[in-house]
Amino acid sequence: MANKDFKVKNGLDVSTPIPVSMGGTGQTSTANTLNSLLPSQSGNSNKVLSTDGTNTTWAAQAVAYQRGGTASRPASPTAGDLYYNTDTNIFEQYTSLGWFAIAVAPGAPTGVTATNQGTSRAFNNGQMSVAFTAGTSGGAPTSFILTPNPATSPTTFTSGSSPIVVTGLSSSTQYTHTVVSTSPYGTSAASSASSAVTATTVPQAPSLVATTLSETSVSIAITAGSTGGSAITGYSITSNPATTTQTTSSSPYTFTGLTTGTAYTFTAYASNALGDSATSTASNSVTPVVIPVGSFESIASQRLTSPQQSITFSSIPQGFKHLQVRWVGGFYDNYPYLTTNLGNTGKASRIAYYNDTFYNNANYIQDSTYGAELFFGGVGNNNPAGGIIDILDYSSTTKAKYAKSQIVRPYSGAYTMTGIFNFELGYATTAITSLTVQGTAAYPMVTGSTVSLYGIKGA
Amino acid sequence: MAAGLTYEAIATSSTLTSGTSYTFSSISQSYTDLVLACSVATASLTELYIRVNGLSSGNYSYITIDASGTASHQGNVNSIKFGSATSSSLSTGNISFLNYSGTTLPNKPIMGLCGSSDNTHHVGGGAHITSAITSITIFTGSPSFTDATFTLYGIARA
Repeated sequence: MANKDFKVKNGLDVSTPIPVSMGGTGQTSTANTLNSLLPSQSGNSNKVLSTDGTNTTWAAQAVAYQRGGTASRPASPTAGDLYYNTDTNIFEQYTSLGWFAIAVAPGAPTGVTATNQGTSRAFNNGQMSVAFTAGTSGGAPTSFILTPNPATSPTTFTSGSSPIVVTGLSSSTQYTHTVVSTSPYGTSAASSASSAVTATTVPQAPSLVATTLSETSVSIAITAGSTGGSAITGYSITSNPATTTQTTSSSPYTFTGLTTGTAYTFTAYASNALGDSATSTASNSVTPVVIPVGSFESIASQRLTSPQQSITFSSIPQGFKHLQVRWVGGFYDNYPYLTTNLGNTGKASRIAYYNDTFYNNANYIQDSTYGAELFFGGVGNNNPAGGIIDILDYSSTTKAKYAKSQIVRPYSGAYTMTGIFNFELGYATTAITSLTVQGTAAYPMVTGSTVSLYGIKGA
Repeated sequence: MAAGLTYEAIATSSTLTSGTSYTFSSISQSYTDLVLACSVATASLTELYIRVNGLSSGNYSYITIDASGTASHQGNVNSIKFGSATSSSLSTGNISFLNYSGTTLPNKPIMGLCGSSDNTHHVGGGAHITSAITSITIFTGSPSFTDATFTLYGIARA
């Protein structure tokens, strides 16, 4: 025998593994022998051997499927199951979303419904959750693309399932949404739009203007920003340097507990039912000081750089005893007027001269459209007038308000006017918080007209 | 609205005991309005006049109203008669120059009150100039000052 390790008796009997180098398998069992002889099995689970007559390779098994009408689909399918729908003559595959046609574009989603999610959402960054149902016709969707209306940035939101969360929505704005389904086989038509839902958020940050009020307090005028779609319930104001955080629901607010001689700025945030706004930018710096009785302060001034019907001062600080308005202006060819937040009603009297003609008009009714008449007769572009108006006890809530005015209209030659006017502005229980010096719509104030507001302190 | 202190004294004359005029010149343009306060207790002085920028060529118009209600209109005259008394000397008064530093509108409104023991005098008028007022002159008719003080205030705007 060439090989003493081989013994033949009534057939082949291998007592020890025959090495591959000697033409054997190197294995001791039939199973191990098969594994060692087969092509690489890694990654070929559940496949079968296939041969073309020359070479042997792994091939996918033939897929088993059932067939029948839509009503006869398997009752308890698992993802990946196949079904040949004899109603449509199309293969279907089951996914977690249901049975869908294979290799067909998906159908349009249905039942698109948006739910606002405004709690703690920043102003103009609203959020909605948009739920929908995948279309039952067509192929299996692999993703859904949602488009809000009006447009957002980004303009679309994509997800593999419902719901889709949409962000970046403008506060207090109504939105509808449409959804399309997509798959490698195409994109569905758009769904019907959802019902309109308003995006609500926290409010916009307010803005502040601080005015010295006393040795230890300042008056803070708060200008509200947009509500975010839910009513503002209050403001929290903080000083810098820090003292206390004080809250209010109205403006102006008197911030107390400050140190005389220390410069302060203030910030605030607004709140609504959905949360707090961003913090405002800092107010102007103010320093509570010992204010001498009778001091005279400039509050605000406006000079026109183009013709304008009126100049208005609003949110007038309430920390003074009296107000003084000093104005100059041309009103083309009509009267200038004074009006306040108390309205345009009331009585007026005047002592005035127009050239040498004397006018003593007691209890004449001022103009009900534009307010208290500051002058009578045309003023004109080329002969502007001026005046000083004292408004006494303007912040009182127990006294009627009166304005007393000295006025003059110089003119080269005739038509010079001068006089003293007295206006009963009325409304004892309401403070004056805004006032306007104005022409009329047809005859506005000319460029260069200036109105300045001053406060006069009192004990 | 930001409030700021204003109403500042710009210049004050010494007590004038001679001469017939006093001029505030090189007036600061940092303000919007001016207020001239006058304290004049000069025997037999019954009239005060005002000019601005040295102008004396029909640049002024005004109306005076005295305590009796009598008014006098003057157009295109050489000065504004600010104070008047019937027989006694003038005492105090103030007069406002509105928009004195403005250079857009074609006139400068001027008005005020002056009081004496026998008259109260209101004047309203103006100087027909577009340029800014840089000087103010107060002068008498003929008698010299014997005890007069003038103070000029500036009113700034926010």
